[in-house]
Amino acid sequence: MSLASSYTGKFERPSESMADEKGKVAYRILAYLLENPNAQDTIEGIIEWWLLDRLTRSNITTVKESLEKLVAAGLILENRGEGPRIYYKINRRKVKEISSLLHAQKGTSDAKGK
Amino acid sequence: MRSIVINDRSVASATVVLLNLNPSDQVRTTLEEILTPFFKLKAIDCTPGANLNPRNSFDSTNISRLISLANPAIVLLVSAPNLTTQTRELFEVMHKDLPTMPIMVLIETCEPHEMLVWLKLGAADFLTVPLRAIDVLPRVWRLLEISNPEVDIRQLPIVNEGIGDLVGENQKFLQEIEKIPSIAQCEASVLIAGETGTGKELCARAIHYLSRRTREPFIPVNCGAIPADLVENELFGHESGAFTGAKSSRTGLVQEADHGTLFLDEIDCLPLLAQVKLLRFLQEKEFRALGSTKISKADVRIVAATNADCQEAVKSGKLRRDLYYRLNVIPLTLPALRDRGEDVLLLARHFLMKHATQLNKRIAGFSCSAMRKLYFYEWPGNVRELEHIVMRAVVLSNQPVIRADDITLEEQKHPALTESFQEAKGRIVEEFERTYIRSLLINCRGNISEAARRAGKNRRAFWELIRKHQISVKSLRSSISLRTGS
Repeated sequence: MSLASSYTGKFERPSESMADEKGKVAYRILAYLLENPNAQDTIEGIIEWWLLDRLTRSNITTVKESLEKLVAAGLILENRGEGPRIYYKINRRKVKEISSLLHAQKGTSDAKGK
Repeated sequence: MRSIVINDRSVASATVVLLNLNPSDQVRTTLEEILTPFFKLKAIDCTPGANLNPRNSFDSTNISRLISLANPAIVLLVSAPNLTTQTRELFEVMHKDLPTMPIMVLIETCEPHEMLVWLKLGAADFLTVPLRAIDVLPRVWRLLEISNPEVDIRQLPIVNEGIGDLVGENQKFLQEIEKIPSIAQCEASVLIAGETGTGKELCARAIHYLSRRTREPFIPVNCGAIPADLVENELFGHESGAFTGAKSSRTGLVQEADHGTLFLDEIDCLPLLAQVKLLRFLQEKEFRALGSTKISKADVRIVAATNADCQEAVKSGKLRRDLYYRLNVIPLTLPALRDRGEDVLLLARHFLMKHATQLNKRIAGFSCSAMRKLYFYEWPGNVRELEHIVMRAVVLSNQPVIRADDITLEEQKHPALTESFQEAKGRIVEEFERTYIRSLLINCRGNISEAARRAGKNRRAFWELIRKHQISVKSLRSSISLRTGS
């Protein structure tokens, strides 16, 4: 299993990404992983079981791009082996950063809701 | 007593009640040896000759009261081979009196369907002989973890969302799907059989996410998609320097799935050497990475799947018999889509909604001719093929309704596409009659009277059917004689 995690990009701050559907999906994935740090699955499992919103679940392209974004930011790890499947799991070294991002994102949503 | 900490909670003080109906000392002694170092054990003897319960009458009310007094975390009900009915009755009463008490059942010899019966009755888990600490203790510990009322996975919204993708009304399909929640409750290996595209991975995932392992990894592997010489490495990993090019060590998928579920699709495609290693892992929960002298352990539930005929695979030597028996503890068989005629249009509408939403297209449904086209197709690729066909139609259509022209199917061998409902029904009934009568005559060795009796028809009516389908009884009798030499 090779763990591909290229720390080339920063994950956008909440105010930039909230309007973006991909950003919303990315935050949902991070929220799931923060709550379930041992979880690991392929994109199919992420769509079917991690993301509860039916509209999001059906949009595989959005989820795929969100995952790519998260991998590029180093927040999640991508496991690739000899087979065609790719497995995604949390980058445990980035738990604090993920927690801060989600906290900030919650603050932004709360502010918008007021 | 050793104290064990699981997920930051001490379970050293947990009480396990051992309710023993089995007169064999060996089973009870083995269980006591395994459990006593870790738990407070209270044994209640229900064997013949015990003061509590004479052989032919089980004072189940009294037992429920005794169990309550002991205030256990778990009850382990040890059955006896010739007392299955009484054990079941006792279990049902206890389960009714103590609905929140996890009751694990130990059965000496158990057929796969029997295990499902117990799980459906409400058994929290089950054990079979031979008893080993590595089989018993993880199951007990898991039940102790899940008995925390704050962690009831069945209440999580995730349960309803994921399993909602298993769409169908066909009875055979529903019978199999309804087993999933029960199967998810236990730790036994599962073997899912079904043609390509019938939803084996969907079911495997549902089993995982409805189980106590829901927060742990789910690792699906297609054994047929990995080069044979790399499979062992993929599953069990390697140490640095294990072979040319192995510059660093690598974790295998078995280790990645630790505490979770490993789904092995196309299990019959696993090379025999990897099958041996997998079998050892199933038995001992241990494995060795390539090039390593160290024995590693992992707590993994295995769910396997195949689209091949397992019996044939075992006969031909492609699948090891002992591995097959180890995997096939709980079988699940998914029917082909062509055997689920009533589900074709249901699934088509489901996929239409899904992909139209994704592409933001307003499509109301299918035209009548499109529905006929979908209904009469054989679906060799099953549900996956249906989804791809509908997705393609949604992409290409610019109309509010999907028409027959939007649906591109592979050429069929028979003219069912142009048949009306009555014509198709007539054809299928005729095929059934012909096959049924021939089979019956063969079974009755050409004896028309016997065949008619078995069919529940009078001889004359049966003879009319033979003439209608132009079945030559004389030829059948000759071929039977040739085959049997009589």
